[in-house]
Amino acid sequence: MATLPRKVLDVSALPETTFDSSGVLWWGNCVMFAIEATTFVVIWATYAYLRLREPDWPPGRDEMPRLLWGTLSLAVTLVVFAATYFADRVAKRKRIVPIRRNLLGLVLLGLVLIALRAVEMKALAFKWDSHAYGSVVWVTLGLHLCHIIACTIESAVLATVLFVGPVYEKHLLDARVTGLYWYFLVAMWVPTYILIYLLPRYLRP
Amino acid sequence: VSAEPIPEPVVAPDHLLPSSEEADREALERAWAHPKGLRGWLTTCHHTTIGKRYIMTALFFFALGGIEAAMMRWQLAFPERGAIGPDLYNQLFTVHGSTMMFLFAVPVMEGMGIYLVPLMLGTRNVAFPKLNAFSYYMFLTGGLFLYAALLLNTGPDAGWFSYVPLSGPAFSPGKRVDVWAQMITFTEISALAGATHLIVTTFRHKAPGMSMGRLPVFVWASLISSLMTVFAMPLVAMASSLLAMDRLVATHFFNVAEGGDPILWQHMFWFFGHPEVYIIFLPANGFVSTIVANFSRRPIFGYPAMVISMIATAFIGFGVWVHHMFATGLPQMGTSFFTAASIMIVIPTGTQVFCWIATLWSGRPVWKTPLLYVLAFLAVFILGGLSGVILASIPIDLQVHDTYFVVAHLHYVLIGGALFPLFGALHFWYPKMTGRMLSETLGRVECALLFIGFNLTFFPMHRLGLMGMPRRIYTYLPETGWATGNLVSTCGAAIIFVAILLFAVNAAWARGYGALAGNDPWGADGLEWETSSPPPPYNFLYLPTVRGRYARWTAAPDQAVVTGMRTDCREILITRALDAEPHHRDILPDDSWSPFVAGVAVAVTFIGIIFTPWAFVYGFVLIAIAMTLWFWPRRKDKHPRHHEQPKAKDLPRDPVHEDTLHPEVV
Repeated sequence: MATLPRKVLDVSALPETTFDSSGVLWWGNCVMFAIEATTFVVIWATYAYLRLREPDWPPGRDEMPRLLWGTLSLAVTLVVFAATYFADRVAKRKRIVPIRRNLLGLVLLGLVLIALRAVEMKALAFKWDSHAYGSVVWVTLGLHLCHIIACTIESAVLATVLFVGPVYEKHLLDARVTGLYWYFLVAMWVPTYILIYLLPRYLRP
Repeated sequence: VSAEPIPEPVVAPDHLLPSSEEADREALERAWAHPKGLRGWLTTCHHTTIGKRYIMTALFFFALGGIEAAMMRWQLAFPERGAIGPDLYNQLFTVHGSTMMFLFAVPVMEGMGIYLVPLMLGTRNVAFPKLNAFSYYMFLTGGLFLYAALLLNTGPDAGWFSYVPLSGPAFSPGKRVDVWAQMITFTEISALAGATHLIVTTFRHKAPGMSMGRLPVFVWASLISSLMTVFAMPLVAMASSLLAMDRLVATHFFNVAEGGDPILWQHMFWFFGHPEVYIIFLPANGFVSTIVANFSRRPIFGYPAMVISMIATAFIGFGVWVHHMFATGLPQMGTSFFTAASIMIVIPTGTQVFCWIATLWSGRPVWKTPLLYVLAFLAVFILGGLSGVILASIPIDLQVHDTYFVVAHLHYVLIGGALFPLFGALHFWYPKMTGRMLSETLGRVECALLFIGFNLTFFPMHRLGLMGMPRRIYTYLPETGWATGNLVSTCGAAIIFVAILLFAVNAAWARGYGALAGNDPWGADGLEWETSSPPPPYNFLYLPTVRGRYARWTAAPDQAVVTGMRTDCREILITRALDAEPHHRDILPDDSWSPFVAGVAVAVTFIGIIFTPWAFVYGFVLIAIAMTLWFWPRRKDKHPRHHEQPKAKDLPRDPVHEDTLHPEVV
């Protein structure tokens, strides 16, 4: 382009940031959730596949994971869901103090979930090397736990940024996208809970 | 798919004079400048640099994989040769297959996408530049790790699909298969990261007016292949992780004795493995369409049919994996569906082949090297497709399973379907990447030699397979009658070697002495030809706009360009996903150490896991630190956004109250 063509499309009036699903970061995270959700589907499918091969599930009736801890996890996850929903509504108002406060709340909930999961896994009557059932249960719970830890760290780091600065407008979008991650964790736990805790109990052949 | 007309451009205001053009250029040069030296090498995040790096690294691994192939052919040239022992031979064929699939074919197609897609879309960089740099480091680490292991005689030796139980802890003690599993993890992370930013770039960085219905065919191909990557690669990443866990911490996913199942491995691997073929083949398909249209001097025949065929291929591609497992004794009723699906692939592929032929037939073909490669592709790939239809039939598959017939088929589809188009594409876009033309004469010789050498090498394998020669044997007896076929095959491999060598010579020579290319040596369509060769780091002085499916061929004489972008920082224009209406502007991050640091953290973790499971725990901490550094905002915002700008009445939604965002104010 040696000389400037006559016509131009002037975009200087367009906004320089966006805080909703039109943001590029939002899209990137959605692709990431698609990837991570696929890994969950794979591990659920692995569980179902191994189930088909094994007449006695779990091997030894008494070894089933206790309903209490999984259900407590489910309850806390539902609290996380509600908390995220309100945090996101607040984030849309673009006021920094409540955003900080809500992020800290989510970090605390994340820590509770991690603690619960630790108790839950410790209470399992089998180890990952006991049998294939043990392997798949441990890996499924572990995969979800890794995500909880990662999401808690993400929220904690973002909260720290919001406290010590420098804070920019784009952090609003970061806060909302972190909320998406929490939603994702809730969405992955519900089927996991049904698969591991409910189906073997109430859907026995 | 139809598109809204682009917004009516406004007449240039006073301040846009040629003098301001010079000022804009200088400002952009400053904003997009790479640091020099080692720092520049390790911090750069620009897609042309990373793309070229991807391509060069993948070609390097291609050469290594080729050397392994040559060694195998050398061993098999005569019966009962002792040049290479069985143990080394096992490592060679495993590393050859793994290299060609995971370190060459997938990354090279991704590298071409990383280089070309932003240029074709008329933008300045990919959507997530740091992720792009990170994905390269993952790919490089995976490759170097595999080869370091091979040199230490710890090369994987259970085949490129590492079937359990052979690859399990009982039959493959030692670290060899662990190396394979971690190499897979590295390259899958790389491919997934690459797919993520290519998808978002394609949807959101398009030039104004480039609606989905006007996307260049190659961008469609790259998009579809990236979407396939998102849903296919997690399978193999998960499979390799489960295998690694079986081997390292004694889980029992694939251990029959404890309720596991080896067939599970095959399902997981091939649910990824077959889409993988299309992840490689679709971008190649995009090369073919681009080259055929440009060298027939006409738009591609049947653009919608072409795009729909690619989408159909992607969907059907996920429903054919069991045809790799016909010999495992799965229920016949079930497998027959997979036969049907496998044969169904012929419909979209055939549609595309007819569209290419129709384009050539009705155009005015210019018989340059890229088009010659495409012709070679058509011949070879159609043969490969035919043997594919044959293999989809269960009775035949059971006869030739694990024989050289399969080896012949897969090389016909992969070399035919990917390598020939790739070489055509490299000849086509080399001038854009380097600013110089490859030698046409040498190019023709290369193409002819590659075609002859390829057929000489792989055609006899069909017959060898039908005669019963199994794959993966390091030698054979003279009485088998396989000697002639193998000798011919080895001679063919020598010719391929010469052809590839000629290409390397051509590329090296042209880098310094080739004729200068100028912006557009081919009279080609596509926005990448709108800018200089090689493109500047900001790609376009003014971002282009588009008013038709063929951005340059349909451009108005005074086609509008985008102005009003900031030039003092790395600002890009974000458009809407479907109709590519300008939506907002965004600032990309500057060059950064964080992708390299994160790459090192992940590398240390995954390599450490082979030696102790605790590395997972240390690694988690290490990666968390690296990621925190990655996302931590810079102390001083070098490019504060302008809030005082007047905004058009319908543009701003929810104007931000700046005062609420600064901690000291609150």
